[in-house]
Amino acid sequence: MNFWLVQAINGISYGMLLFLLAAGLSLVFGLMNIVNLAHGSYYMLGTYIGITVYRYSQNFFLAVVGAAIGLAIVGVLMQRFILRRLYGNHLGQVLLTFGFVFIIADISLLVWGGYAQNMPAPSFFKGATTMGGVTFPTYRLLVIGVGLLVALFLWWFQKGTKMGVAVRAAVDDEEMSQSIGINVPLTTTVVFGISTALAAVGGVIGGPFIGAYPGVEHEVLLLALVVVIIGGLGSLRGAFVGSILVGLLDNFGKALFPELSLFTIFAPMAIILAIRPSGLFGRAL
Amino acid sequence: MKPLKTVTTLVFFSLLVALPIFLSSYYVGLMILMLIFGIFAMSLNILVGYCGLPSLGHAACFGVAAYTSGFLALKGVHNFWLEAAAGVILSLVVAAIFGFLVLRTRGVYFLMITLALSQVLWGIAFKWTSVTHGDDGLSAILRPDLVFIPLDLFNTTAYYYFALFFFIIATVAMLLVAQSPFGLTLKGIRDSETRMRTLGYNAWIYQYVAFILAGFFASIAGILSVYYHGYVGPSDLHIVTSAKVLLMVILGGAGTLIGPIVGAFGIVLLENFISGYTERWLLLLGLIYVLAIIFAPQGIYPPIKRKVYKWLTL
Amino acid sequence: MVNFISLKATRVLETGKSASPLVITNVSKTFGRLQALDGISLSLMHGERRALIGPNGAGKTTLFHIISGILAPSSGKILILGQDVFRLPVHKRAALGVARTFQITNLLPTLSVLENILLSLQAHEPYRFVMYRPISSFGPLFLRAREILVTWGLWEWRDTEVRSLSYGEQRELEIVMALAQRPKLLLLDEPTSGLSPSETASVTRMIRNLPRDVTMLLIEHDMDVVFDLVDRLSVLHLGRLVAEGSTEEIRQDRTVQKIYLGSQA
Repeated sequence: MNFWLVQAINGISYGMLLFLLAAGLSLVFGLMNIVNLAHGSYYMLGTYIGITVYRYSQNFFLAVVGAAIGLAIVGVLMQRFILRRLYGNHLGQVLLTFGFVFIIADISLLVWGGYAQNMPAPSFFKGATTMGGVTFPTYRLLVIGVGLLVALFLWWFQKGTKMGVAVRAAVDDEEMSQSIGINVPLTTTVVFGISTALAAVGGVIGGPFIGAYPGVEHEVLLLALVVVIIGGLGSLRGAFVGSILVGLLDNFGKALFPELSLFTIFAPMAIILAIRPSGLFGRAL
Repeated sequence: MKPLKTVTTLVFFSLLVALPIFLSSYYVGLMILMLIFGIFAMSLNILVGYCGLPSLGHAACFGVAAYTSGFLALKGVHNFWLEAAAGVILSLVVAAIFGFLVLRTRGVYFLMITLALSQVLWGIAFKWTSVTHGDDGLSAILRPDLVFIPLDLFNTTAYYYFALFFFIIATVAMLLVAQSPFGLTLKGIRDSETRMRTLGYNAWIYQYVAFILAGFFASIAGILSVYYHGYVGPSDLHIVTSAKVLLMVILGGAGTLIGPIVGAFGIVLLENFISGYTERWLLLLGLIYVLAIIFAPQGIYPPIKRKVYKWLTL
Repeated sequence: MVNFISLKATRVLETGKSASPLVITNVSKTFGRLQALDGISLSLMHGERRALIGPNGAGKTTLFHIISGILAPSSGKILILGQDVFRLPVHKRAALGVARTFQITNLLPTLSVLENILLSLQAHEPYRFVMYRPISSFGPLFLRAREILVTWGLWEWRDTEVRSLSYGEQRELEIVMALAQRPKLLLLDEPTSGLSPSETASVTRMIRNLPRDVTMLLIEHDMDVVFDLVDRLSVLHLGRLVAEGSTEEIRQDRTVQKIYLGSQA
């Protein structure tokens, strides 16, 4: 029983991490129709920057903020000056963003080296907590907490704020939105920046248990993609449900069937594709 | 116009046939790589250029064929034709299954799903160590035993002509398909699926067949690759490979016959020369991709085409 | 009246077709909370020329989408040439003999005029799956394509990319493509919209000269064109069929006048 509960918590916390990535991916892919393959690279860069900031400041919170701001800047620059020129040109976006994947990968290699690096979990969250007779790693609980907070924030942003409504309007009909005074370029840049920052936060938070190494950007991109496929493009609810599902499946898969682990997420993905290609909560294709 | 086209084609193929005689085996090896990726890129072009379906998972068929043939070769089958047939067949099975799953989507979705599916195959190759030897991959694969053809493929130049044979077949096949009723229908579906369905075309069937056709030629490239390198690893199924071949098609210019070949030849040469000069070749390559797409959003071949050879569109 | 009946009988004898080209029974379509079509019933006689008119947003194009199979009705039945087309995919309905043009010109933009026509012609031919022979080797196909292009004065444009044509030329080409298939039921969606007076005259002439055994359903806003081309009209308003009759009857119908005057904002 213990085993299942601990695995479940691990799975859900992993899912929360995926949510940070998938939410941004879903927003950018689904709402803005932009293909950004560098999304996994943002995660990786976030981890690396987080590690460096932590190394100098010994402050975990600062690491999170530093990475978020740093990546938000990178993302906004990318979107504002380059990605904008390729609006609608999906193939071009693929080439461009993959170019960035290479650039970021090589710069990371240059600056941080090729060895896997981990971030130590912040001291007051190290160790274990016992709840109801079961012991959990405290850090995992933190991750779940952060994930829920972010989910709530995004939900409120989308439904409650002017900017959130502006995003949805701009996505539905850009021309119309612009004609009623919504600053579409600004809105899209802000959304892009948020999505990048989220990926970076995910990177820092995931630092203690996933770490950063060459190749991690592809692995997390794949998982985030599977989440978005299962959950549905452009849907926050879908990203949330999908993340938890994939997190649990991946975790249990690795624990119970290590040789077939990727299969445990492949099967549900294939099923969704076969039955409902737009995902659980996605807009109909 | 037409004489110019014929002359250029003749010159191109003459070079392909004659150059290896004058080059060292290092450069012949490079040319072999160009041929392999030429076939690979042309196969992807069927999907990207003629169907308008951007696949980021084309390494799937390439890698599955490579693994299958390599695996059988290591098991001591000693018969290229059987090994290759198995590679092609298994690859087509993968294409048939993937086709069912991915053709319900378009555009960005299609991109993501093809990526995810082929990455799953990568994961399987990575983890299924008993069969695929995991991260180590299958190595020490010998050059193919052609059984009844007395050709020693251990010689690089001999292997080059072996590969060239398949390259020419693939190019001719692409040419025929491009100019056939089937090919024209694909292009029509790419331009407007609704219009084509309204005219009476079952768009899905065409796309499915195209998907399988693309997988077929990708498997040929994969088989040539595994025997040339003597090795196949999970990276042959990885997004990096799928992206590389997609970039070749995009950079060269999708939708033309020549574009992907230009892209393939170009990127193979580029990668090779840059990595010879600097350790930061990945960075440079990335920068080149970024700059190329900013200045030539439709690929580098179309502007060349537009400026000089208007009629090379096939 | 008697003349009309014997005319119809003659047509039936000539073509051997007794099935009505189109029978729509009680078709409705809702999009979420929006009722786009409500209980539409309509039937066309063989060789009839019918216009579907009504203010913007009345649901005319939606009805076309439902007939051609792009959308499924929420309820109701559609019989094309006597066949219930429920769940029949778009391309299979085309094979029955349905051809249509779109409100927003829908051609194959990067292909040439000739290629567009070729695709239209080979759509129902078995060799459309052939992969190993160049299309130029199909003599009869090319002859027929040439014949059509020459007839409609498009031969000199045959190698031009469709997207380079003027708007009017594109609209004409779309109609030609539909006609090339020798359809039994032709659906034209605002063929003269956006055209200059001379282009409109040209297209009107084209439609007037359609073979008499082609049944046509026409969506049009230009009333001069409508009254020139059709026998009967069906008037749609807010998803409902509010009037149907001969051109004279409709011209004098008060409800119709109110709808048009009322919506002249």
